[in-house]
Amino acid sequence: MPFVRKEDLKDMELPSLIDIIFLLLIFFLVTYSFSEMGEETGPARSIFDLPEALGESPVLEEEVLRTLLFQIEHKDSKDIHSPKVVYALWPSLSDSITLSQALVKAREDSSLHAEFPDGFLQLPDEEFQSTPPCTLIANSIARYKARYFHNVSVTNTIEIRAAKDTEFRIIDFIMDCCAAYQDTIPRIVFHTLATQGD
Amino acid sequence: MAFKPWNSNKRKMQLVSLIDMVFILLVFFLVTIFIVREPREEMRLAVPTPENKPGRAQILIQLLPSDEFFMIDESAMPVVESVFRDVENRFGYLSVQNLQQKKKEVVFRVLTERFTYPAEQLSHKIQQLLNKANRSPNEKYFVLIRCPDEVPYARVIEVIEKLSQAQYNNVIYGCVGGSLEEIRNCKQIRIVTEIDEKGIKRDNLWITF
Repeated sequence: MPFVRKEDLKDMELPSLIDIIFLLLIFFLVTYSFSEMGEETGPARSIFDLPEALGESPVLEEEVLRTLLFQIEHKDSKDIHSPKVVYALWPSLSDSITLSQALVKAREDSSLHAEFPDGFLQLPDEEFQSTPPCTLIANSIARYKARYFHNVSVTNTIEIRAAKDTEFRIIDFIMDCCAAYQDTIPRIVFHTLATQGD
Repeated sequence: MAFKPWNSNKRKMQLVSLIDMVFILLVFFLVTIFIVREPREEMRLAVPTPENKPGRAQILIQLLPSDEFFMIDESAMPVVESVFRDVENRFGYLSVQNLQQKKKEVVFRVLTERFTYPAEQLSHKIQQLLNKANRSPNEKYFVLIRCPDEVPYARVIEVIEKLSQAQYNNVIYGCVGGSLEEIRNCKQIRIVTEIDEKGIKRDNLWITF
């Protein structure tokens, strides 16, 4: 009669069990995080640039502001139905001002921000162009160009940092303003606010 | 009093498994640190400033307020030619002006019926274009993206991001505001034959706004 030692059957390999549980836990945590990222940001998540452009690092809040940047976002970042506001963020030549510092300044200074009126999409072109935010954009570009872009250079850029749901009409207006100085402002750099509402 | 025999095997620390677990924890924290940091990064994309003059493009991508898009390239030319011939045969009795108007209407209808695609096909269509561009590194492909006012600009960025993946940087792109209605209401749609810099005759579709 074959004998089986009871001890062999009862001996639970606890470290191995924990090992497997941790493996499963890590697997689910990692895959869950990745799928959430994919949903949130869509396929356009990578950092890229124009083919001819030099490699540039992604802009972070603490990066030094080097050119005029228009930030367009909801007045209330938690409410996607709140009106859009444009902030004109000016760099400083004398001292290094970061994007977040410039944003604080623009929020405090009423001459550096303006709110798009309700139903601006329905406004005729001329009326839309005379709204306070459009006037702010056009004046800022004209002043910035006069002050800093004396020569034609590929490095002359105006930057736009906008929430993903920003209507193309606003972007188109900024592009049109830059198009007036097409030779001196050959390109516009976009930063899509990926963390809107986070 | 009976004592249980000392079983050294039961109390021994399993060192190999412990190290295993420590390593797994280490890997877990390393991975999560990168995941937490990653969403703070922003997309960065440079777009050429549009010119204040009529432009030309080999490929037109017109985004629509619905999730669809309208895309025409050289493959639309035979369709346009055939429609023009057909309209001339059927409505030859009309005055020149009315015939032009008829051609415009029919061409617009046929093109929008044949070349409007659901959003899911955008990646596929752009990939086809990229494959073509990658096969001919010396050819330049200019893509014009038109976007209506009310559409979120992120959709344009999505298209440009895909286009920027061309292997030889020979896909050039630009974006302007505009709707499909504006194409429908354009002054004229016609075919213009031109000779390119290589001396090859090409038929181009001209849309006059």
